[in-house]
Amino acid sequence: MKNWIKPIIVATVASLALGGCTSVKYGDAGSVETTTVDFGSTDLQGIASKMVDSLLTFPPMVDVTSKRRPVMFVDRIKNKTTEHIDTESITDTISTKLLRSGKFRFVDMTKVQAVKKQMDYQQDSGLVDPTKTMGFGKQIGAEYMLYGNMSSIVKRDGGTKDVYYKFTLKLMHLESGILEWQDEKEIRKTKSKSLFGK
Amino acid sequence: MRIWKMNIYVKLFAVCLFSVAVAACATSGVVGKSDPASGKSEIVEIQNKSLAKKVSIKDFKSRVINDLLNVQVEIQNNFNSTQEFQYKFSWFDTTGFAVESGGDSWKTLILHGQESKTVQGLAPNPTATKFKIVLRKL
Repeated sequence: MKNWIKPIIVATVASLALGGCTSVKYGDAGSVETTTVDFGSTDLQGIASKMVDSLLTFPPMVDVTSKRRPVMFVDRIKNKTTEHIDTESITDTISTKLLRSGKFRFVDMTKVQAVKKQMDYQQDSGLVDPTKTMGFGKQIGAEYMLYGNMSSIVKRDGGTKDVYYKFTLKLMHLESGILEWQDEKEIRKTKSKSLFGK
Repeated sequence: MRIWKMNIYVKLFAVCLFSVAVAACATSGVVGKSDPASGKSEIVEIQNKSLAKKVSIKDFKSRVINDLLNVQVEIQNNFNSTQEFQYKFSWFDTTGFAVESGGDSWKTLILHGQESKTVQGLAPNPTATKFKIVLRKL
């Protein structure tokens, strides 16, 4: 056998053997994820948890929500970082937790067109029993608006990358324009390249 | 015969190595429970004794704010070196059923030598009357 054939056979067998080790398994969605320094699921969960806990225990909001369930709507979170971050996913988690706490109610502004289309159908198509149609002009207006910013500072030095995220969430009373509540969540992540690491 | 014996030793060694590896990966830690109605707070279970030596729960506090159970746990690092832990709260109603199970995620807690820190948790809704905290070291 020629000398150069042997290493090729060994490499082929080794790659086939390694390929056979591939496996798929389910993981814990709530576990801490540190694959990269980029924004990840643990950051999203940490932000949502901090913001919801802060809003629900802020004394003036405790006063308001102990008597009634105010209606709010979620405006966008401005992503001022250099990364692509799905900020709607963060606000979805926050609104889910707030809604399930039983202390707030929400109106969904992303579905206004779909709602109007359905109401028009009920009123104008002639197919729906007039005594069972949903009437116009009976929706409840939102009292509060939830909105915020997401920013980051990224620094690199040799093999070290340091990322600092700051998430700010604000709650505005629509009628008065007053900011009723605001809070921040800071996250710092550092990645160092070791001598033998990736 | 000799080869067969050697195989047995190799297998035994592999089993021992596997069990050591599994023990090293054990993640469950100290489980505490508090019931604000009776004012009782206690450590109910230590699942990982080596972790329990490194960390202790100094104090439990609980209150109800906005109809939601709010708890504070003070965790002490018993070692002089920095320790990194993770903790998670779970919530239960009066009948012992889990409230919004799977909703809480693990959070990282870094404790420097002999340092103690407080961590807080807020129940997801007013039906939660009891809580459990689980600490683990990865």
